[in-house]
Amino acid sequence: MSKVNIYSLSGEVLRTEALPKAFSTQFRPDVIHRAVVAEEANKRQPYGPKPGAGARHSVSTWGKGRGVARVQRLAQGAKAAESPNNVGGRRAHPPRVERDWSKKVNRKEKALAKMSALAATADAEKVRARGHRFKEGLTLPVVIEDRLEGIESTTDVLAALRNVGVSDDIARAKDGIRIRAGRGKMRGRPYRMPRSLLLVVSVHDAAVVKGARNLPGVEVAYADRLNPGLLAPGGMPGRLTVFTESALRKIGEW
Amino acid sequence: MKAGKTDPNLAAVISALKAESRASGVGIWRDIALRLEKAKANWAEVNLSKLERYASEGDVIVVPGKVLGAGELSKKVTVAAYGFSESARAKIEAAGGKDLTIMELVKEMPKGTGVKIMG
Repeated sequence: MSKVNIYSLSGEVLRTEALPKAFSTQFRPDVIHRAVVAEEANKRQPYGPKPGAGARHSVSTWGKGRGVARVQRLAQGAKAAESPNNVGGRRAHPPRVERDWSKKVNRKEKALAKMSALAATADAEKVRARGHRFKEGLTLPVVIEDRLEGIESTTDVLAALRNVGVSDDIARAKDGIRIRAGRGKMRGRPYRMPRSLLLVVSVHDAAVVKGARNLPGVEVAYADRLNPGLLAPGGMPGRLTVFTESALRKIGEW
Repeated sequence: MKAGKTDPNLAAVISALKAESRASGVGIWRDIALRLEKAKANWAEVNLSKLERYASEGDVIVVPGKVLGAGELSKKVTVAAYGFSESARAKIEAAGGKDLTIMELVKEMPKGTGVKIMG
């Protein structure tokens, strides 16, 4: 069983502890990917045209015999309307709101995905392969003493993370903010930001939840509410993860 | 499209067994590889009662699947399998036998002489 250092807020090694059993789960990238894909699919919202869009006319067809196309026309004129081939008409095969985007994953498979994704956060090679940056020689996952949970100020949280040696990853996320490709730009999500570290805390009303959430790419999660999507964003295992000491202990109870 | 195995750990075992068989000309490893390539629903499932009934003292058994813990085992046997249930592992060890992964068995007995496939 591998060991991790517990770091103080100033970055010194306080002591060394053994990792919980969950961190020695077999690496199953296929299962993790499937669980994350399903998770993202289940987050999708239904979309489609408004019911009746392009069909709010009173129309009838003249039929044959007048030497014009047999399209349906407005009642009080000759203007063609409503059909998909007419200006302002309804769409031919629009996306429908009834469509079920959700995907099912078996319960035990989902549990395996979570455990396996958790174990991947302890593998420096996989974390580097995801593109994360952290100080050479740091033991993964990064475990910081419990005082971190009480820090309310974002500046102080950043200072503590800098002392430990993971703030480079936050800088990477900040530098990586780009204008999103595609239509999302005009739909209220103009920028995309890389995901940097995940901070796992033991209680959900910890002060650091507010203290850390505005750092670029940082997400704060409660130890009992972890899921594959947080531990392996995009289905790629090995996120840089920071645990507080008691959050790690909670995982030991699994 | 042929689906193949998605678990890289299993795929590695299958290709290692085939490579071993090609290199050394020992057929049993290829046989096991082909059995592991089947759908998991068709995999061997060997309970200890089956081992007790068909194995004799000192046998080397390879199970291309999983060994499960139902039944009692009184014989000292070496069992290699892709998976063991916890209770099966405990009972085999209590009877003085050994439990190995398939790749460990290949390393120990590369010629495969006397190895029996069960399941």
